[in-house]
Amino acid sequence: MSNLVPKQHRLAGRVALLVLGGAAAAALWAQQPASQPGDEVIRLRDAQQQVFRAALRAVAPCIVRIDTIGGAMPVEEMGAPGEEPVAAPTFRQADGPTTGVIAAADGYILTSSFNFVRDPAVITISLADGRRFVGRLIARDRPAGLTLLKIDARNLPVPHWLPRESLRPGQWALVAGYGHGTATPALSVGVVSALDRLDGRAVQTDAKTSPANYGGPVFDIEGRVMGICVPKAGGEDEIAGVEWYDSGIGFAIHADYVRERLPRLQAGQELERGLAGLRFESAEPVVGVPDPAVPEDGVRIVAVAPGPAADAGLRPDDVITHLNGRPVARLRALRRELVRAAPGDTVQIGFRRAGEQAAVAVTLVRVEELQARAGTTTQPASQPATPTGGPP
Amino acid sequence: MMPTNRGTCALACCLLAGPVLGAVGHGPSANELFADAIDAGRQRVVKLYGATIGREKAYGCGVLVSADGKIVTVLSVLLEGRHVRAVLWDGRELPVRILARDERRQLALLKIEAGHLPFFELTSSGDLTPGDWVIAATNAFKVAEGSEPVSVSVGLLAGRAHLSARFRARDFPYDGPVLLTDLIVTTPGCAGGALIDARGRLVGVIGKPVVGKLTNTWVNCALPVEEVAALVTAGDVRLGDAPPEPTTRAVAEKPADLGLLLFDVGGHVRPAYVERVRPDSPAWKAGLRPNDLLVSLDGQPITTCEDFERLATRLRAGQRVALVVKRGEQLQMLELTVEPPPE
Repeated sequence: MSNLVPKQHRLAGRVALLVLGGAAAAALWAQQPASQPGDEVIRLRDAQQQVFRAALRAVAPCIVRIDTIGGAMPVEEMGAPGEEPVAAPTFRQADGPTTGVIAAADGYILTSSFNFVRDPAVITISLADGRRFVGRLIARDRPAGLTLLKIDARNLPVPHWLPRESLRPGQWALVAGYGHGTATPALSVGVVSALDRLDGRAVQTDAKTSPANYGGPVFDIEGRVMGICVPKAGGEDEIAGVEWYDSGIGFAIHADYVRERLPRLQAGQELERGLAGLRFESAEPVVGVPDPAVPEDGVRIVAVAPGPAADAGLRPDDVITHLNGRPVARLRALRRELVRAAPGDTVQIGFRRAGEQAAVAVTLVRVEELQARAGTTTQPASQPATPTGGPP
Repeated sequence: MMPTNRGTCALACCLLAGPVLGAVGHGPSANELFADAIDAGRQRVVKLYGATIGREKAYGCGVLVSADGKIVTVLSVLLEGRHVRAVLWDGRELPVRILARDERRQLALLKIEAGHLPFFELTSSGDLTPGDWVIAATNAFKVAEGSEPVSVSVGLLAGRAHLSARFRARDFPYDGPVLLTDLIVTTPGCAGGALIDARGRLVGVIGKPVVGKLTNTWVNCALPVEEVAALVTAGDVRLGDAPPEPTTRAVAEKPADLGLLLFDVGGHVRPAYVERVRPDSPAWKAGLRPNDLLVSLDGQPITTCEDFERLATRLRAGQRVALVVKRGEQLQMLELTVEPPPE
């Protein structure tokens, strides 16, 4: 890490353009008088390269390198004695550095839970300026697959977060990470492929995401952070989805979601999915558009497990029409709202029963509580994304 | 979990320049941005065909490095075939002779009998910066048949690193500098292909598909052109089908004595906790104390006792090294001066 600072200085000296937008790149090219096409090409290419480098330089102070020591070790995959060892066809955790993003100036670091599957004994955090600290694990957001760390440092640079509303599919997206052991974060470029993936939590990009940059930022050409790079699944199985990494399909948890959850993580709250103990019927097809003949006026409850929803008086055949005062016409909309609620949160559920409109307050609980009350015969906590059943 | 093909579709990258150019209204079209470089790559990368042994593929690429038909490629079983052939950009198919094998870099220098060929000058990759465009010219998945040109993809130089990798679960001998790219160049048929900058200069030769020890994922990388040049220079001197060089560098000297005993509980996980420090030893003078956890040595991370032992064997008397240890909840930076081993 010691050679990081001089390198940055060298780069800063070489390129005078600090922050350039795509429009600025075009302007740079356009300002030049008409000359040989070769020159124009070279100028445009160079302008693009300068933009990428400047974007990395702008965000680099907010990117940290994470090293972990100890914890559960991966099981070696060995062939039979005397045979060639099995290559690494399936994924295993590695020992190398991982990446995080400074989330608050007073020492909070956000990263992917992927990097902490092994529950390491020691976490060290290296800042871009070369300083190194011991990190403590504060809390995890299990559904999103994020982990919050803390170091004893102040006045750290924080990223410029990009709100989800400002993102557009097709715009440049870059991702950077320390996984390969580079002195500065290694860079990949692509575009925003889609928004609101993974139950509305994530931006999708075709920039190369992999264990080399999970936990690192996905950012725009001005170095503003769109999200935190995670493997596909997050939550229950933090390493699921890594096989997608080289297919041009990557995800980053939206900056808005991250910022919304940050205060609770900072307070040390382990965030899980909050459940009410309800099952729904849905006319929504898995693919394609819903049947227009089916009215979009709510989500019918098909089963109520012993739990907070039952305690609040909800019954099968009730039709949920509102959540926290906002109308929910479809199961998908309900999922997106509920996925952000944690155990202990109270949600206002508006419903219709025999033509009468009513509302109840339901305080969500953890999976284990629901299972304990349901006994072991039923599985109300399973969350299949099927047309006939859905959480909570 | 083989990497999937990105292939020529990565040229979509070029098309992204569309909106930028569209705003201006005229000027170079997007596909002109890399046209020269792509032409250079297509003409200077040859397709190689040889023997299939086990799971290794019988096809790959090589880069032309001289007008009289010298080719650099990776060392692989492809070259063990009795009839190794190269197919040039114009469809000519020529037999290949092996001039030199470089076991450490896992490269080979080949020769075809031809003249007036286009070739890559072996210059420098030094001024290429992370974030710069790079172009890969390869025969990924053997899609270029007959006289069809090789496939090109456009991406970025991601960064530079020292390789620490496995090839088929064995340690990969080359541990020197590599150019990392965000292109997928670990698919079958990419090895030996060219990594080119936007001006069409060769900056690296795409290496064998290796799995990085740091990430346990494929490392998409190329050996810098400087390493290629070193082989070509040495290969000129030593013509003929050279025997493999020894891959391990013998450590003749006795390892340095630091006066340090690590806490070894055996088992699978052995974090490098210090058990004992001999008074007045180099470790003692550096300030190491029992129960310290060794975290890094000269920037190299230490996660296990084995890591430390491996790094310690490289230390030589008189050398000053930076040690980072965790003591309680704090990191301590220590400086240790290595002393000669006791007689």
